[in-house]
Amino acid sequence: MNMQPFRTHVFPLVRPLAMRWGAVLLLLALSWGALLGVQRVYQPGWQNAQAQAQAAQAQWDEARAEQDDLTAHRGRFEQLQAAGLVGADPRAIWVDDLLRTAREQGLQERIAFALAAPQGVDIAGADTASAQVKRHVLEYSLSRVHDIEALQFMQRFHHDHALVSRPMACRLELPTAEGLTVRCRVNFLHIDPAPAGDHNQGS
Amino acid sequence: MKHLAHASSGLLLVQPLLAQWHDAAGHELPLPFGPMEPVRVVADLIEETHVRIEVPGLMGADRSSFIQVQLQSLLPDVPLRATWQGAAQQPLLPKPFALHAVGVASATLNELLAQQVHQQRPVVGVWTLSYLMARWAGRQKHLPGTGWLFLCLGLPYGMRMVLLHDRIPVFSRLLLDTHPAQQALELGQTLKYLVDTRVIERMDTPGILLMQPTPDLEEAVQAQGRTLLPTAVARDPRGVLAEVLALADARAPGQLASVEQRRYSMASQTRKTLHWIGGVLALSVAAGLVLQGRAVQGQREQALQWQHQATEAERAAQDLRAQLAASGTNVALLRLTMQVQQSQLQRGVDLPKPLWLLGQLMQSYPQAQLQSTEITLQPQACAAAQGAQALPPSATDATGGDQASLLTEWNFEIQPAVGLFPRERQAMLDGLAARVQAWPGWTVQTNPVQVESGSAIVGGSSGATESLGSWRWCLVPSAQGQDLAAPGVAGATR
Repeated sequence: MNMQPFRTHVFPLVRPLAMRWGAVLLLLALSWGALLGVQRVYQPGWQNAQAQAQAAQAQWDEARAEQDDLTAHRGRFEQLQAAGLVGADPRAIWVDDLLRTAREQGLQERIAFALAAPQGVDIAGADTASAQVKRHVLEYSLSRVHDIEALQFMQRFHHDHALVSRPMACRLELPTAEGLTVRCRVNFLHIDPAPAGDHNQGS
Repeated sequence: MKHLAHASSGLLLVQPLLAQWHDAAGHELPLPFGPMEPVRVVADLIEETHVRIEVPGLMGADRSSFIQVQLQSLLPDVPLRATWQGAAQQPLLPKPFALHAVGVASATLNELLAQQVHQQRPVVGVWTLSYLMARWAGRQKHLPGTGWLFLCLGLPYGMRMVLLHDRIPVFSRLLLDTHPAQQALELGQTLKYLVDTRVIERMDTPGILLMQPTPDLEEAVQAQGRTLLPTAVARDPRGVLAEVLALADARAPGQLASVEQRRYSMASQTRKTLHWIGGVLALSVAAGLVLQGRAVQGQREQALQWQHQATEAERAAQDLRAQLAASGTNVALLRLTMQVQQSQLQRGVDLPKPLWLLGQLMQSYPQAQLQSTEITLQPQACAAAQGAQALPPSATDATGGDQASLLTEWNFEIQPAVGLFPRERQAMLDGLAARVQAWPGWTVQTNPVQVESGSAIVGGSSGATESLGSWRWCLVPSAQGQDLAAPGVAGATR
């Protein structure tokens, strides 16, 4: 279709109206553009507010979880703390207890023991708590003892340290008329709350 | 929309005697209507010429130029001219085709149109009555679609005759005589003229349709021995002429007026179109603007809410932290402690009950002697036969990993007394095994009975010392034994 006649004869008649509509549409388009611009300018701030809200919510959730844990486990924690699981190094206490128990049962001449050097235990929460978890393996033996004596000794010693130790193995062998030999291995656990840098690794 | 707009406009029928104004309903008006009212112009004049243009295989601008040259050549000095076929009906490919055109060279009509334009009256278009009659015939379903058709429309001032070929108008004549006999006579002479000038072949007989006949005219034509096509019933109560004139709208073919002559009408239509398009666009953009504005407002309010939530949550978290700090408990240490208890300080081995069971067993078999018994926590219980040996450090001990999943394993070895006959020895083993198997709470994983039955029996009176093997059992707690594999067979040591 040839548009030249239309441009020549018709368009001049409708030009004012076309320009008015064009101005209206342009104004609307500019308004829309301005609105989009406002949105674009403020968008980062709004997103930041959302991130802040989420972060604050996460902090609150964490604090709430800590409070729940505190409420649920505080009593047990204090028990374990009192038992020596957390705090100063109690290696000497364990050995003293072993010897004292043997002496009280008259077995001080028949007991032998070895408390190995502590081993570090990898536990996920240790870094968060700035603490070190250590395992102390105690191996002791009673020779030429009666089975009842051995059982009494083991029960007493293990019961006294039930909160901080775990009997891993016990072996009774070669029962003779003089008695039998008992070998046991007990894992003692200890949490050293001191930061790693302050801790004496050789203790 | 355009059709409705045009149908609602008035009409000016220009005939040789006068120009008759009609309102939008088709009623004749004594005077012209307002100068700003749109008007459709229908020309029924003697100065009407029909031509045929043979267009060769051309395309685009070449085709348009050729058609314009042919129109100028065939209709010289005729400003009002138009083709029956529109551009859309022309073939797309460059192949030859025929175009039919009409031209009206009437000074009266030109002056009338110039006058209307001068008054700035919107002229919708100018059509010939011949083309409108052809359009009317094209809509009559009872008329043949091909061949020759001769239309005769009685008018107040005479009769318009139009010859159609395949429904395309190729010839037209206006007779200014209202007498039926004379009209019939002229009809016959016109047909004879068409045959003589070889517009119609002599053997071709066009169908004659009297569109709005009077009885006298019908009789007069039939008296000439001509056969008439059945007359269509007019849908318009004012007659066929009104029906034909109503067909003058923007879609009617053969619009004669130029853009310049129709500029006020086209401007009016363009204004309406602009209003429609502009209105729709403006409404759409405005609606989008409102929605966008609401979205921005919503986001802003949401952000404010987030800020408020963040402040509240931070305050609540600080309060909780203060409470935690006031408690004096290091929660991280508490968690670590509970974790250590859970993973490293679960229940250890328990000797009294197994020893009591063993004591009961050995009392029943004085000829058997307990060599050793051992209870350990292992990653895999009763995995292999082990002889009497020192307590081995487990793999878990070395790595310091999770010890919550360690399994309890109970081993013991029993030595039969020297000097037993094989049958006594076997009976003792069977008895011991049956008793062990029956212990509640324990599941036998390694049973020496199977090994004993498959091993050599050694001994005699030669004075040599018998070398007798001990019997070894390996047991696990029943709850734990359900998860283990079937009992192994390696159970005896020698």
